[in-house]
Amino acid sequence: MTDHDDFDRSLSERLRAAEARVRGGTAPDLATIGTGSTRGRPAWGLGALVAAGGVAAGLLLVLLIGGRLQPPTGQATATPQPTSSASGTVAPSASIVPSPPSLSSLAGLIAFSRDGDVHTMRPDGSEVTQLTATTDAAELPVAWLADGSQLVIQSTANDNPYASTLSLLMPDGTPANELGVVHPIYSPATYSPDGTKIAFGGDGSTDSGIFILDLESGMFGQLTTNGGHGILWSPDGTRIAYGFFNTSNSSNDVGVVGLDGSAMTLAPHPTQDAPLRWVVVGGTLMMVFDSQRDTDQTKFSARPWVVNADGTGLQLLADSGLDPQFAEHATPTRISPDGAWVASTCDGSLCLTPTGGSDELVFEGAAGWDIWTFSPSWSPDLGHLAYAGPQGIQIVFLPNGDRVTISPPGVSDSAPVWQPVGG
Amino acid sequence: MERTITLNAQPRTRAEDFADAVSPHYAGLVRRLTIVVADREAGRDLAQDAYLRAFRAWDRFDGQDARAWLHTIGLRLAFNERRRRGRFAALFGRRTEQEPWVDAVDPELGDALQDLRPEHRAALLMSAVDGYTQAEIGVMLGVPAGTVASWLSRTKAQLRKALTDD
Repeated sequence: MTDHDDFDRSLSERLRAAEARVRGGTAPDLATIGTGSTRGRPAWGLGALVAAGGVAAGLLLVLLIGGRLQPPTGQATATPQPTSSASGTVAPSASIVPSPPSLSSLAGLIAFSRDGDVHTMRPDGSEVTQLTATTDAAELPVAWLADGSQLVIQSTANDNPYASTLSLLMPDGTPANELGVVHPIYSPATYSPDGTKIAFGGDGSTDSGIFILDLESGMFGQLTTNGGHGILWSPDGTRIAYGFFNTSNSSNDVGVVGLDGSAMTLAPHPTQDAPLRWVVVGGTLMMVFDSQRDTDQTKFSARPWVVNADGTGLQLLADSGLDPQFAEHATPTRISPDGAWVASTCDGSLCLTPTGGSDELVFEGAAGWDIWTFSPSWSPDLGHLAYAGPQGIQIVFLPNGDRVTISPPGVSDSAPVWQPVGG
Repeated sequence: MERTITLNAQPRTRAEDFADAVSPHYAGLVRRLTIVVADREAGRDLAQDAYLRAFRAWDRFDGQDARAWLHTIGLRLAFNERRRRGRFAALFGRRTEQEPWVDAVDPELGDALQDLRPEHRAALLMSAVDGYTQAEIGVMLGVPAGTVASWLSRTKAQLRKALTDD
């Protein structure tokens, strides 16, 4: 009996006890669905709604989240709300909160999601325009094409959360083109280091794999057909590491695929491997990955290994003399188009780290928020940043971190994407 | 001649079959989702949503393990919703007064769980409480077993540090 065994047993017992003390609930009464009758029983809200009139599933979901009817297209509903400045590791010039009119001169539209539909607005919160109006699906903006001419949106049907359709819209909401179907459950939209491409990992219409969206050409295509978990762009943006199930040895391995379609498996082994991060040491590109090789696989025993990008030099990270912190999983980031800022998450907050050495800016979110929740997006002039915060969409003035809320109070705006024009 | 007469026999409805099979697992689903998303209200919302989706998909259920099936729908819904941020914002991020979910009897564990990613909390509970294998968890959460192994390894190391170093 080891300390680990004792800890595992104790942890299981504590978890079981803790979960048992969480308040559960009574199953909704669904027996009336489709019958039009409550049979004398109190009708559960959703069941009764469905029974009463075949209400569309989308509307049910909207009701579930307390959604509201959309403002008519073209009506301005948002009023900028001055808020506090950045908190955390920097003392910003907090005493000066920019007045709303200073936002009105900023170029580009901000696309965002409100109650499951895509909208756009001016950077000062005016001219809110609803681009989609579905009741059976939820949409969110993914990115603008590089020239700002069209918007990529992701639409997920309420009755099939396992497939999303990527489409292009004109800025006025006119449908432009359907790109394809992807279920990005393995890796959400992950930007290349230069921001010109987005990779998704997930299920397609036939095979699971990595899907690439080129924001300069608008082309969308599938790069791999054997999986696409844990997408990691190489620092130079020429290749992607990912996890996949290797049918030749019936285990999960780390694959590397180039944007030219070249592919290889790094250090294949009939145990479970999962990619952690790319590192460059002395000019050599290496991959750090977790592996259960050479361990008792009945335990939670994965250890970090490192291998050169060409598959040579495999060794335990602990034996390599490299920084042990390389064993930490790479934190998803977004890099500003000029390379001056790196956005990442730190303990549920959004961290903006300047590459030029000035102070880091930290903006609070909530536990568990990730980079996709904050959705940081830079203005065309690179002097401002939009992100989704607890109070809605925020505009940050760079580099001092002053901040303005442009979402009206009480709405759930998210996923801002700033149109890259007019710089 | 003996005859058997069934009084008031009416064919069971699809909804009744569904309710009989799935309802016993509803309270457990609420508990599980509440801990995974660290929000009592969101846990309830997601459980209701999962229940409705399960009903719609009832014809495709293989009849094997209703609890695992319901939990798979609920957990995938929770993670998928996080990425459909319009709802994620409403479910997870916009509340100003969250109803506390952390277990008052074991706040140390509650605090430690709070620091974990939702996916990691889910994998941990499925392993340590339910006893699922890494491969089974991978299938249910839609990730490779290697990823689950990595999650569990790091999660347990993090919890060990949080729960034993104080």
